[in-house]
Amino acid sequence: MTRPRPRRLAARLLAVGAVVALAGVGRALAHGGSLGSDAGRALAVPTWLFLSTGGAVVGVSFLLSSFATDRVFLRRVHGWRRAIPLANAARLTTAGRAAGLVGLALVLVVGFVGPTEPLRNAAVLLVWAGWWAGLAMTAYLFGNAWPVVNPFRTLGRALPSLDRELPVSGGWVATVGLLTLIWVEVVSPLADAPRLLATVVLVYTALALTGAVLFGDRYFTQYDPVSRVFRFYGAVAPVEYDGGLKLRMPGSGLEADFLDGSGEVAFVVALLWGTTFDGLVATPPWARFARATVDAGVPSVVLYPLALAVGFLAFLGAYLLSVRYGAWLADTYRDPAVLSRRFAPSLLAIAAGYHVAHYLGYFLSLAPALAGALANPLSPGQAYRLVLPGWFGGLSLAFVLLGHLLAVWVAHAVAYELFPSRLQAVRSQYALTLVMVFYTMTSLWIVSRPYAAPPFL
Amino acid sequence: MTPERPVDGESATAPGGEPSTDEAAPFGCPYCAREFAQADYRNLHLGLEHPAALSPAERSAYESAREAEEEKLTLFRYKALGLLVVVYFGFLMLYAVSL
Repeated sequence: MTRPRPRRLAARLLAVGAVVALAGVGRALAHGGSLGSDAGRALAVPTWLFLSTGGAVVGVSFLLSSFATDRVFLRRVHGWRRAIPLANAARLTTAGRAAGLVGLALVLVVGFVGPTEPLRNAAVLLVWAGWWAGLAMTAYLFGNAWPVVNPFRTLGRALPSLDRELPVSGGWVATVGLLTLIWVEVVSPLADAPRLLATVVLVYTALALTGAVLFGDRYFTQYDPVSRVFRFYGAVAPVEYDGGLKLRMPGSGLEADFLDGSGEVAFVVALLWGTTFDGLVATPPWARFARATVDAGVPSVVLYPLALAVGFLAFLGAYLLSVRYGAWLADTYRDPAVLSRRFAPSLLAIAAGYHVAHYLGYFLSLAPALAGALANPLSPGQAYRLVLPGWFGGLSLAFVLLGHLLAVWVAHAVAYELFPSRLQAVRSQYALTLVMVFYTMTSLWIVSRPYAAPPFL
Repeated sequence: MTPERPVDGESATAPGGEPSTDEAAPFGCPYCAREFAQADYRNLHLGLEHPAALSPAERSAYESAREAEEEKLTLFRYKALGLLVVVYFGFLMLYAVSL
């Protein structure tokens, strides 16, 4: 069972993307479709046109959002909250913690002694389909439940803690941790080898419990990359926890000043780059590049971590540069560090868009297998997969675009908060919008490449 | 209320280029630590962030800055609309010729 790679969607998306992007060109498409009556989906939209359409959608959405110039309206939309009454909060929390603990125990036991076929192994299915696809999706679509479910945190609470001060601030530590996790995930067959997966989970458990003993709960809020991924995804969600549950407009959590510095900005960028890298390594151009690099004398072992680090720095550099340039365009005395901190959360909407695009189909298709494996973890029956209809790929592309649109909208609202002049606010986003356009086009390009197995793994 | 202009995180060095055409920049806010590269930005800030504290002169400065902003915004809207039309028909043409 391989993890979903974006390019699977490619061919279908080419045609559907154009339709979603500019409804007005529907006629042109229909005309093109008639060239080969049966080839509706493999409609030959040239790559450059496909990419520029995607980029243009983001650019156009920036123009459209710039028409929303009423500060009162913006503030009302983003400030809207409604309390959700919750009757049995304490009981729900206990149930969530228990579910997390049972899940962890299941992953460890079934991972080590369960069947070795990944599609019948409850540990593999629970981690990838249930947790990394399913639970992560609920984090930005509904609200972040991980602080309650997190079994490592529940175990950590039961242990005595030294409660030491954190030696370094958490953002950069978590960023390095996240990049390490992405590297492990890309280079090892974690989704195909249950024993290996259980070992990695065991190592992670040991790390998390050591952290909890040393630093208490702060380990999870500051250092633990997984908790941070969930927390940041949760910022996109329409439900927030603020003493009680509250409903809000999706994305309005991203407007708040909740990042504490450059390290957390780096983490946001790492989350975005991680998704991209995951797709990039499975494309033919990467395979060619990797072979050429190794032929040129670079050891194959360092190729992947090196590319991961270089790409991350390039993404971070592009973002920081765009913020600086935006500050220059807006003619402001605001500290670029403040600006980069305030605009970075908008990138989380893009990350969430990619996540749901990649994992919704994955989750749905594996849901029957997951249910089957959970019903009888040690000797499951035949594994079934749900076959998704062809139009599902188009839905995924819509999610990618939706993430970008939300990001543009959030950046617009943040700029209005930051600058007294509305034209200043618009100007401050020119460079950032260009980076978002570049990012959309990069991702769509990756999505439209055919699959090639990553070499040297 | 002395306009003291303390320098905090928002330092007095502009991030790039010449901050403004006006010689008197930076323009400090008399009620908080913020500084602005243009008088209009400061006046808008006064009206938006400290509406209760304004003197009559500051209020009228805010109102005229707001009017000027509104005018520029209208121009911007026309430009944006023009660009939207260009992008829309541009892509229409592109799809028409390449499919």
